[in-house]
Amino acid sequence: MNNKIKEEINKIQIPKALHRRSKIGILKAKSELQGNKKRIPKMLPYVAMIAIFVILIPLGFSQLNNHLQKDQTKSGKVINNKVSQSEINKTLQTYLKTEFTGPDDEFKNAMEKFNKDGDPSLYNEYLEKKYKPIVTGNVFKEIVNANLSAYYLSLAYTSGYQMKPTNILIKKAENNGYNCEVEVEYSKNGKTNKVTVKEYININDEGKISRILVDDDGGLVNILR
Amino acid sequence: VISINNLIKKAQTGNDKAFLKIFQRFEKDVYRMAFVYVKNSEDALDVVQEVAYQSFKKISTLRQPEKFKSWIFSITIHCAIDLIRKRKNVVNLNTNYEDYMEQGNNDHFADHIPLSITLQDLINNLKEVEKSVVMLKFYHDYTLKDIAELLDIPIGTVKSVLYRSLEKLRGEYLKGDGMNE
Repeated sequence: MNNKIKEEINKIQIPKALHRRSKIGILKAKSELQGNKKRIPKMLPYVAMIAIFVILIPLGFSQLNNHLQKDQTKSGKVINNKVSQSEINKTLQTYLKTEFTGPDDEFKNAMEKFNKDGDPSLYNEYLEKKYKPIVTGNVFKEIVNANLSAYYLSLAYTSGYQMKPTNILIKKAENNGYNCEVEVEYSKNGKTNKVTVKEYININDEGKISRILVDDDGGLVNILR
Repeated sequence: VISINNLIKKAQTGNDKAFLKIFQRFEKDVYRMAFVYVKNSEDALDVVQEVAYQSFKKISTLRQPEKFKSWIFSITIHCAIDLIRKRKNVVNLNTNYEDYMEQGNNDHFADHIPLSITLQDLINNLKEVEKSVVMLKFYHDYTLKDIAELLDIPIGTVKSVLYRSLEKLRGEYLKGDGMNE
């Protein structure tokens, strides 16, 4: 069978630096992971794992897949002006406030219950309540997988910081993207400082957050560790 | 020979050497995929480094080790498109798929690959989403179903994207010296 495409792509020369760059990426991740291990309680990494089962088992994996597929199909259709700009701004504000406020008592209780009793139900409820109404099924899946949101809150909970957004700027970018800047005040033991976190967030045609990219967190992750 | 599953299990406990062994198997593919998006070696190397970084950081969340390869390619696509956006080197970042809905139902795509296609055609004539689908189909030999799963889009859309991409590539060829198949 003719596969000219494979032939052509294989013509791309491999530079000598390739393997070294792979190593650099892995070593960078390793150093950050080691930093995390020192501070985050042993139970925390298992929160997401158990959360997945709690959410997936009642739904059924295939049902969830179907659900996610439907999300994508819907978002693929052109639904013009279904969601107003003010609703989109409200969704973005809600997300950013949730992400950088607290941890409040509800989050602390959820984490405590999980860490002490191994019961993730409150934690799952918290994620569902805060994030599910404003993000797509895929993004929620990532949140549950602990790759995405509630990360800063988890770190702040562990290290005893409190966060508060003092200013939020939202600027529409190309297509359905938004450049968001959040001035986050963080405090501990009476000392308060601020950083600016920049995120690029996509909104789908139904007004839900379909993608979140942290462009620059101003070093907040390292501060909260 | 240590199986890839065992290496993944080790990597998931934080073993960077095990992860490097697995990643090394795919780094050339990651580089070549990235190159098709970002069009130059330096940026493609940046993408490789970022993919290595992100994948090792997230390896503990990978629940199905047999899907490691697809997972790495998915991260590669995201990282390459992110880098293009950051560089402001925007060609077309439209990753929505509405343009492709319900079009094209031909499953015999391989019959439609033009013989005279060049790397430059692939790099310069296709949108990001088209590059993703074409590379997964013809470079990595994924099935349409696997591509749909990897890119998280309906299978009908994958077919439509592929059909449109090949039409584009063939169109460029036809402007040259004629159709081959």
